Amino acid sequence: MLKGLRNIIKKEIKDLLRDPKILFGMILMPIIIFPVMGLMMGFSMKTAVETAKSARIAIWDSDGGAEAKNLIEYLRNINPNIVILNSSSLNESINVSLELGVSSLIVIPEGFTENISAGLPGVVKSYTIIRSLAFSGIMSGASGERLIEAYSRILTVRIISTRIYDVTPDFVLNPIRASSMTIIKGRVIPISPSIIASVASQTITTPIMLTIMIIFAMQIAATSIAIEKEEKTLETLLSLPVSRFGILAGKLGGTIIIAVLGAAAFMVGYLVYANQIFVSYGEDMPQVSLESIGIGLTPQAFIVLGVVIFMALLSSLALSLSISVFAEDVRSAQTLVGYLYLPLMIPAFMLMMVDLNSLPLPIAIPLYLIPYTYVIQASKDLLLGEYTSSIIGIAYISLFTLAVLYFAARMFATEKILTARLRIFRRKTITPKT
Amino acid sequence: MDAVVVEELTKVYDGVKALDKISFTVREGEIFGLIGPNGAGKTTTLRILATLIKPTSGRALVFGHDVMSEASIVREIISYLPEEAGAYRNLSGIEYLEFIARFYAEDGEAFRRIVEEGVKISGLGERLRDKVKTYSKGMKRRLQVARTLMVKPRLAILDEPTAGLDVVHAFYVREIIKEYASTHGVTVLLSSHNMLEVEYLCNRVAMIDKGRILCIGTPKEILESTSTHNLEEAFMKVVSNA
Ligand SMILES: Nc1ncnc2c1ncn2[C@@H]1O[C@H](COP(=O)(O)OP(=O)(O)O)[C@@H](O)[C@H]1O
Ligand SMILES: [Mg+2]
Repeated sequence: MLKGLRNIIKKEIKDLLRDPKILFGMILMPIIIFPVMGLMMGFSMKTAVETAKSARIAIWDSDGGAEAKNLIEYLRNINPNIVILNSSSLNESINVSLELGVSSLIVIPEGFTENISAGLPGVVKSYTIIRSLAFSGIMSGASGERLIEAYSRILTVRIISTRIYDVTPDFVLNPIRASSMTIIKGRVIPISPSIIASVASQTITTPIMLTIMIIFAMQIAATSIAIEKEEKTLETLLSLPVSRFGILAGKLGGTIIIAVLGAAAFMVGYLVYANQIFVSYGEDMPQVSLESIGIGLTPQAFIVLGVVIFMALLSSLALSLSISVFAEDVRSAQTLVGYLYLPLMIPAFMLMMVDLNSLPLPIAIPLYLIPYTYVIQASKDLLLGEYTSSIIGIAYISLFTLAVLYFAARMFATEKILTARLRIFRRKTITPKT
Repeated sequence: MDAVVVEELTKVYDGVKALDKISFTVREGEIFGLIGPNGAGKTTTLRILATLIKPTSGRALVFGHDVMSEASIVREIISYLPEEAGAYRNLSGIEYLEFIARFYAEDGEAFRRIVEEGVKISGLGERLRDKVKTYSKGMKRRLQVARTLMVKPRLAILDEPTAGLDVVHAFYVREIIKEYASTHGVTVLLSSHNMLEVEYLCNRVAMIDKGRILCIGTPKEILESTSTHNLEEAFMKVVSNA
């Protein structure tokens, strides 16, 4: 029995790994695609930012007063690519700007200095020239506008400090300072909840990645029996001196090993990707890690989560193996298994938003029946050190998987596996064999 | 002991009666042929004997073991070649032979012997190193015949072993079966719709049509009793009398 089981697992792995679709889709792609994606994202973000920084800006000063000079001086200090125009009209300035290929034109109309000196708002007009709707095109165009905003703040400080004597500019600009704390697990943490939310939201990627992984593994499981039918190897396999349960277990084992390899590839690829993204956004990100604020997985919780995830994977694979018993060919098997994705994903999406305990019973009960629910709930609870949902989950999923495996083994032991002929996409349903 | 005993075997597939109380025995060491047109019930009979499907009523024994209640013992004794049999596309021919051999071999030495035998029977030589998906239909069938016989089963069940093959491959397969049965004392139960092939190959034959056995005997006995010159004529005569 054991000999047969090992033999089948070995064959499954060999056969699966030599299938270019599986080798590429499950193992090579995540390793290659993610880092390439990360590189590209990083590269284009960097380009966009650099283009914006070095954007050329034209200025037409028709005011000529001291305040206009100050503004130009400021702009020059920040951006060395400033072009001062000597035109006599707005039209001419625009035409020259277009010819020069600058990304924006700043016009300081007459009366700018006069207004500011008299305590009235000075007017500056900024013309952004958009040549391409790409991110970097718009970003560089808008930089003229941003420079003026920045100067406006500087001017505010100067005006307050020169004309209002008994307050500081800082006080006028920020008369109330809100200090936000968060209490989590009874501990007060000096960080605003919105930052925690944004950091915690990164953990959402885990269930999403997992869903993709499980779907892929389910496809493989479904294919592994259907392909035996399609390639006419099943009849031989069933007549060999190996128990039906051994065959089923061998297929399950082979699929699990491939799925684990795929998961590892996924993780490696994703880590590289996340790292690159982090580096390219790096400077603006709040440097908060979940561990530093007391949310995190202890090694023990990590293992429990691993068990829950593994059980969920096992139950999905068992489910798709037993469903695919009824399919006549690979395509039908994949379609049949496709019907399982929705119930698989519903808990993932619902529980990302709300908590299981806060749902009304008619919605919560069906969710409790789906093994995948426990993965999501457990991954949230374990972060906070709560083990109850994991333990219930492991118990429930084990029962669920055993029931499904029992059903699959029963199907395997009957002649249904040879005679059931569910064929999808073709009108012919039963073709008597002659 | 008889290799196969079939008694009043009946199989009904939702409404379709594929076998209607057939009975026959196969003696140890002989090549026994089930002949009949398409849809006669040959594959159904062989699948029941190979423990793949269950009879609706009646019973079947392989070397005294019931195919229903002792299915796992029966699977140890037999080796079954399905009518349409494929090998795993991504494995090479030799890997496929090794995969099958591992189920039967007790130890490394036995394993080596089985695979060696398979290589010899297939006659595919160096091509065994290539992936099965590159094989022609005839080569695939030779690989299948090799994997069926190499394990030296007490009973080989071959469903239309030469159907659809060209003359050269069909000839090769026929010779291998004949030679193997005589040198290794393997009992062979095969089916065919090629009456002339069966006449050449089999010690005894059973003619089957529409799920019933029409007559059983050595080719010579059947020709004599129907006063015909070959089994094809004999079959037509038996069918018209039935
Ligand atoms: N899985 C099945 N479902 C329904 N009818 C079947 C099935 N397999 C075979 N039959 C019917 O049983 C009869 C015998 O088929 P079979 O044993 O395959 O004949 P043979 O091998 O002699 O050509 C045919 O009428 C066939 O249509
Ligand atoms: Mg047939």
